Amino acid sequence: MESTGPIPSMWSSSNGSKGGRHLLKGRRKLETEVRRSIEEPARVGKLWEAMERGRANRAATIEKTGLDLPAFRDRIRLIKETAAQDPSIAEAFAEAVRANGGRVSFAATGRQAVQYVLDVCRANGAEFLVKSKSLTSEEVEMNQGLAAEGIRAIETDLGELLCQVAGEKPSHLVFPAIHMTSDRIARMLSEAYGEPIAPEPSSILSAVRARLRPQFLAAKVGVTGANIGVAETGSIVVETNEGNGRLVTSVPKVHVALIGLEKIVRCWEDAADLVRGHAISATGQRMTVYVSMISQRQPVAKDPAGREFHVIILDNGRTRMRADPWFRDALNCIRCGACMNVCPTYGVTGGHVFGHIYPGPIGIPWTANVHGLEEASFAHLCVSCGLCHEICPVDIDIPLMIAKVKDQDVEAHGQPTAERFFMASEAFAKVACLSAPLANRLLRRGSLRVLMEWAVGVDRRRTLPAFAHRTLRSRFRAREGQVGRVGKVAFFPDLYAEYNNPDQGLRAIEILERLGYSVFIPNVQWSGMPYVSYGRLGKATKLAADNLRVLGPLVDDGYEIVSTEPTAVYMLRKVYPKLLEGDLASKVATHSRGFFEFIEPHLTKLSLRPTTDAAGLVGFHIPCHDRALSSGLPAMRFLERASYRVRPVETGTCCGIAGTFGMKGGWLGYELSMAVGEKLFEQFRGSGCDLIATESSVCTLQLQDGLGRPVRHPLDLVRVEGPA
Amino acid sequence: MKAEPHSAIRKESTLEILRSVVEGHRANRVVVANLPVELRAVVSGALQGRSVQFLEDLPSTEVLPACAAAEVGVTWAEFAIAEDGAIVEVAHDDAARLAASLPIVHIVLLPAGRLVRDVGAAMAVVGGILRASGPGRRPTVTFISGPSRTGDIELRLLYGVHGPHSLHVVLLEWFEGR
Repeated sequence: MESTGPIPSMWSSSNGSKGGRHLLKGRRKLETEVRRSIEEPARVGKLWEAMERGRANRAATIEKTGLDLPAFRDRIRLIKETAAQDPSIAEAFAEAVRANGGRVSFAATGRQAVQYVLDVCRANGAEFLVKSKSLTSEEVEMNQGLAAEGIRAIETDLGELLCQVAGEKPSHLVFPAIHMTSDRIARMLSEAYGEPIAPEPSSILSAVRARLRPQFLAAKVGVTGANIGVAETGSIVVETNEGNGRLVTSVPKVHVALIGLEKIVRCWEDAADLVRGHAISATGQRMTVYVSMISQRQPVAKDPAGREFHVIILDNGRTRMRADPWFRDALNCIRCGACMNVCPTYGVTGGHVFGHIYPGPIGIPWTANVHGLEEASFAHLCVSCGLCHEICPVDIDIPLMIAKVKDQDVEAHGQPTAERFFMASEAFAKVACLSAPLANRLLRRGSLRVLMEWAVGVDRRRTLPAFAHRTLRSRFRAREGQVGRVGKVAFFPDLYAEYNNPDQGLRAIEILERLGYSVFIPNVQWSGMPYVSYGRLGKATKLAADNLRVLGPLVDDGYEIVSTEPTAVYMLRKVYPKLLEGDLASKVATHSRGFFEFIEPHLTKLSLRPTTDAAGLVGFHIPCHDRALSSGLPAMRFLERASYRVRPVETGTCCGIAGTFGMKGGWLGYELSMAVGEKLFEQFRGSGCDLIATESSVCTLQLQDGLGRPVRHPLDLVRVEGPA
Repeated sequence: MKAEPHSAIRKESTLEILRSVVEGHRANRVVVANLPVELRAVVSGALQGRSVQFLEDLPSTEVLPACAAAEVGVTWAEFAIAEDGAIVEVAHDDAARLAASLPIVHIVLLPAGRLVRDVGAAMAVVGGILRASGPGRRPTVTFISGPSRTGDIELRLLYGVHGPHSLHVVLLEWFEGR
């Protein structure tokens, strides 16, 4: 791969008056880190495999247990939201803990939480403590805070322990040390423990067990997090697989539990769903090996002397988040890590790049809120594929929160020219169409592309779609329309069908007319996904409002809105209603459909035949945005009706181009996009398919660039005749 | 190695199971906690010639050293969760949790008929127990569905990183429990 360094002009900022270039230093640092993770895959280790396995195990367990996922999502969400709306619940929990003989401290900040642990250690003469895994303790950087005061915190979860010995942060919520190989672990521990340890996992395990055992036995204080707090009985639930949580909470005389305010629920009935949800979503287990439900300190052989239970309830920005309509949803997170198992760019860069302390997609809003915007510049690794929202067991709209973090970051630190260029795509497309075919010749020319890369940051290696001399609208107006009796369709072209491939748009319109629909192209603008991807939510909202003003009356007039572009349907159905709450957006959302989903009920009226000589095997790529809608199924069935054999070819995540992300120059664009794509390209190369098809215009570019093979729209592969 | 179930139809077969598990692990030191008194004789009978310590009889300071030195811990479970293959430990004294988590082998006894269907039903029972026991007298309840395990090294599934390497679940057909 040709390597292009950062191109100076790309980094000019939209806020030139604020001092331009240095404002983007967060992104420049990110770019260096992305480059390192792509060039040195060992930094990321077996992460991709861990993610694949995580998704597969989760899906298998959901299947096996016959879990009704949407109903389950609703229940968990209701539990979390009910708890969040009741400020007295934390107080009730605290009261119940005290009634059981425990002590409770409310910590407004991380510093206060650490101070409390420190005081407990001093009161008990402890020079060190043992810890089981607690993400919340990492949030408050407890180990560092204690070390500064001379108290050693010993991590006992194997993955956390390995990170601690290496002096690194966890790179995955569930598998903190997934980036380390057993060779490296053995070398590292041999040095740290001063004894040779063979690089077999079993030898490493024995060495760690032997090393930790005396530390457990001598510990005076044990610290845990808590997966759930149950207000009615003042109990906490600690879920572990290794059993270290059992030792940390039974051997030392003093147990201190740190719990985030948002983890407290009302009753045991609520906790039951969460226990199920945690394990299934985190590892695909039905439940973790040990689920400990602790309400108070127990005596040992009837002797209660010195046995104490402390609970620290941590705020650290949570009350503020609860009051913030943009970020309150983040408090519903159950920390299962499913979102990072599906995130395409996390999979390539790993949690050290795609994270501060909290890694992955949900780590972005959490970081921005508890650690500050300055630490959250990894938000720009998000490509807005939306898959994290799809997989989230609590239905958290993570992509929208990330867009808000990007928005805040752009306000504070400026925006690269490439992003501003792509947000002006519609204006550019209009000009390009007017000057096509000259524009097309120029866009294919190396020299202009070098200039474009320099001036606006569009990667010269990326094939851009050609522009049509006549737009869809002008050709549509020039033809004779049909008046249909079945219904009325407002066709939403979006950029590609309007400016690049009007043929495809017309073919879709013609099929709609054959089925008896009157078709009309409303005076809408594009759907505007880049405004969301690049964090300009004000502009996204304005565009949404403009489009909805046009579409709303059409829906009232009996029109259904149909588009061939999955991203446009995603915007209409999923994003506009979030940007603009109210009846208008939800009404339009309800009446918007993808083209193939819309025509599917009527397909029996048509005769479908392959346009190719032999209807071979079609490798089908499902665009991410369609996974939130119909997962490509209607388009695949359309091809099957035309006697193709169809097989989805997928990695389970994004193809990497993610709209215009993969058109941007450099490591934070094209390079990262191709690194993500490579996993999918491998699948296609090994699939033995004769043809490749997808519905999305941008996924088409990515697959063509990556595979060097033509990629077809399903409409290009089928000759439609009838009604018979 | 996952949890190994054993079915004990009669008292005699219980003795046999305990003896063969302990012998199979070549263990000499056994700690016992939280067991109904009726079963104490069964355990001592089965493990004659080995060191068997009933933790509740020890001074509290000796419990931890005894558990640390033992290869086998024998404890009691109140009931089991059928669909999840988990047992439910209810501990009013941490000697039970120490005996179950420090030795490399954990043998847990429970009445065969005491089953709930799934985790939801189990947690409803737990909620009932905790509510009924009242403030300051609430037990520590643990669902255990296998031996200690980790996937933290290259995702390879390994057992016994902290707690027991083996979990034997002995279902007593002949004993109703306390």
